[in-house]
Amino acid sequence: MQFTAEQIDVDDYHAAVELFFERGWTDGLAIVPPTEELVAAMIAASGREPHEELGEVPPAQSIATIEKLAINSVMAGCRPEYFPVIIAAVEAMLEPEHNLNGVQTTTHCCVPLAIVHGPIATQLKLNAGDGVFGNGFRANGTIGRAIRLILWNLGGNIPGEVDKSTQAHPGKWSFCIAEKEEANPWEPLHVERGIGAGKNAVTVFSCEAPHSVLCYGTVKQMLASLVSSLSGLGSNNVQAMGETLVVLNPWQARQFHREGWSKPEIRVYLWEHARARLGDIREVDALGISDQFWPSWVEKDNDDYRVPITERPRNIHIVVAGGETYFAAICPGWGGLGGFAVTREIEQ
Amino acid sequence: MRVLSPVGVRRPFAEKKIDHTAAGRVIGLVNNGFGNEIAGRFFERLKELLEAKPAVNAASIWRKPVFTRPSPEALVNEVAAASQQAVVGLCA
Repeated sequence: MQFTAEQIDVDDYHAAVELFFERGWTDGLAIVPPTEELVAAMIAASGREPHEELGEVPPAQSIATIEKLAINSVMAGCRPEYFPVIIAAVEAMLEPEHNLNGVQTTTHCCVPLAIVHGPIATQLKLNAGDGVFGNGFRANGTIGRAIRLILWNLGGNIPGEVDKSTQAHPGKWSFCIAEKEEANPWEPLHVERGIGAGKNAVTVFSCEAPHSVLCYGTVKQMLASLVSSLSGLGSNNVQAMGETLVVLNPWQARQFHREGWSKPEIRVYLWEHARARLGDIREVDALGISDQFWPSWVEKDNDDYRVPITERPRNIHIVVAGGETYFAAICPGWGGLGGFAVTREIEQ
Repeated sequence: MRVLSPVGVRRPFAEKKIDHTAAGRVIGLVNNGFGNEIAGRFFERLKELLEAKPAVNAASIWRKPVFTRPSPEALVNEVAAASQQAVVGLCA
């Protein structure tokens, strides 16, 4: 295979790892040296041409070729069969509605979360159960890390330079989960978003780290807990709308389903109740920007108006994942500023 | 062992030669930051100060629809058509 990337001869594995540290080509962890053989195997697994261009990765605007994506995926420790997921995730992030340029440079902590859907999640042994956002699973860890290395080496988002994230969050190392579709009584997220049932897809949504929500008991108790957690005044969603993510565990999903709740009904309930008083938002909105994100139907002169966290119910995304205990998770988005969810089918 | 570089390549960018004089020019001011009241006042004041200079013909202000997104092409074209020089900045 003919490569266009610079080729560097090194003495051994350790010399390669040290070279990547010295040149600032890694995220702070050791890498798997991207040799020609490993990169060729990665590219071959995708069935794509190495020089195919997917677009430019902001803010550095380096060209995302299949070859460069493969090199970074090898470095992350991915197996070749993971590569189609990474390609689809990059394609999703480069859609203009995701506003990757803003995501990569904002002072907010949002990070693109990759949510993998379809049979491929099981085939690749992606974790969708206990500790879904945590460690211990090669597919989650390395697919998430590959996406981050691509954003690092092609996008150039170096902390303190163009990456202005104030505190960031640990998802900047790796941020990838799978939906637990076999335990999901409803349609999975990618089907709701227009991909056929049984197909493989990835949704990319830039969001905060998961916030734990103690969410147990009756449906009424669970909804009250979610409403309270979603509507805190410090949330970007409360001050600037946008989109948000709710991760219900399979037990919670079953409880809702057993009592006749559909996902759209949960969304509408959360949208109607997870609200903040307009006057209270104005009091904390020191930047004076909330008004820009409120649609015309928000009564801007009425301090007692209850402002929803998103412009419409469908901007509250719900997935089923995690272990079967008392906890749900919410991942607030960046607000109306960008990072919106984009779903792409995975081509194999 | 031979390894491959993971960093990307950018498309060549043709830089235009910039004439820095403001004499006789219409200056476009593009608010690239928070579209809040403070920024609004800042840009209005900047416009006033520029227009007070005898050499400057006029100054106009534009604001991006969403401050975290790149300017829409239509806005870039509008600014380019209406002004001979543009200053893009933000007030935080």
